[in-house]
Amino acid sequence: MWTPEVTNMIIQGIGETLKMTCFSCLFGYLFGIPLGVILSTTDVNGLTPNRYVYKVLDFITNIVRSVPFLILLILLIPVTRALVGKSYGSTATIVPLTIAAVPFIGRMVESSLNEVDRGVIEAARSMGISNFKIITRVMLVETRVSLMTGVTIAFGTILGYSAMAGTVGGGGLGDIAVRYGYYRYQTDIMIVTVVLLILLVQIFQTVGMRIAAKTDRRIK
Amino acid sequence: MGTIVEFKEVTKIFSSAYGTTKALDNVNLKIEEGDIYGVIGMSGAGKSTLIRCINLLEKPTSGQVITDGEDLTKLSEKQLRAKRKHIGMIFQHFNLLMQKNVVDNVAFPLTASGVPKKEARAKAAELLEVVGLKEKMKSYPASLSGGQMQRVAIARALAQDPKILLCDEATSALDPETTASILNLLQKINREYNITIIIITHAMSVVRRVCKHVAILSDGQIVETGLVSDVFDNPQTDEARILISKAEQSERRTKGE
Repeated sequence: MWTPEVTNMIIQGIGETLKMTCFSCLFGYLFGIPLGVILSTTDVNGLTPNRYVYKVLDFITNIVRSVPFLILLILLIPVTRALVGKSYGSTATIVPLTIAAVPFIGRMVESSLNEVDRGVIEAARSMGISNFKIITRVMLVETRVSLMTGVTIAFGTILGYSAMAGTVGGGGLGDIAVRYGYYRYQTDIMIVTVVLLILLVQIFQTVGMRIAAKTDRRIK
Repeated sequence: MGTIVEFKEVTKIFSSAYGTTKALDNVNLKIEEGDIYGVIGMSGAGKSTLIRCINLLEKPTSGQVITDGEDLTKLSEKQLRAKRKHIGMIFQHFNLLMQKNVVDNVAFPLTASGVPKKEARAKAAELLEVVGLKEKMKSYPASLSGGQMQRVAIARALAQDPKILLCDEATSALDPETTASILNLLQKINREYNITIIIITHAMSVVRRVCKHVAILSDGQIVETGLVSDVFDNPQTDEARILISKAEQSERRTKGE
């Protein structure tokens, strides 16, 4: 059963999974960082507290996060179709993956930024530094280790979501696992895909955490 | 030499869900240029609020804060930021950037306001020489002692050539010997750069050692001001007498007498 076709299919599956995860992570951070920054700065204890902005964003973030990913995937089919032209395959899956990732990443960025010592921010204010620069030069820099840890967590989570999209023809390793392992009872192929998924998460987790630890200047 | 900081009827009220607190109650204060001025009071007396009103990190509820000839309460956010560059500040917990090395910490106020990195680092290196930490330039704050961290913070506060240096319980986290060396450094800075230094503290020994004038703050009110020797040796008000005796007691206790 290990024909070259199967091997090729699995290699292609790895490629698709990586493509979905990487692009969704990228787009997720593109929108998630501003969301996290606004959530953190408009918080009661933030740099520029604004109850209304915080409440609205907090509410939307919670709503999107409460919808199970599989349901979100189906709910977003019209949006996906409008943006990509079709609702199946790995490129189309990037749309719901990104939308699921943004609030999740936003929350992680928010909690990272909230770790910044209030005293350090006060010191920056006493130097006459603008709020924008306090965000970009103090908060985002001081928390880079925590942010990096967040990236590895986000990557693993999005990879897991991308596999879930396999049940509705989302492409990638999850798709192969569902089609061969579930519909055709080819357990061996399913096990191979699952092992590959585990390996991918492990590799990214290890590399990410190592980079995070390497760049941390607090220990030494 | 003229007045560099003046408080005119400054009141600061904090309101929260639990009620309101009057942190400063109609405070009038004049600090002369070139002075080392101490503000002493028990915890909760409003010292932190008072020092934060000098650079408007806290905005007074009413009253005027005239710093270096300008009423800060009337300035726009942008003008205020420009003004703050001339008012350095150091803190009890140093508040250094833990992910930047010593020289970049000192250069930070400059690079953040657009000074080229090379120029900022050169200035930072000079300042580190002044505070006696040139050999630690490439170290990270986590590897420094408390006294060394405060020296870095002082160098950082001097980066933008301030006229005033605010010290918020700057020696309260340090042991007596380190405290003495930091106070010596502050005196040197006051002398050599003619920077007015304002120290808030709960420790009488700090005020006695370096300050020329002192104000006693009690429950948000200035109860007494004057030369350190006059106020401490011959207090005129009950509040001042109570504070001085309490402070003396606690200082005797920490010395183990």
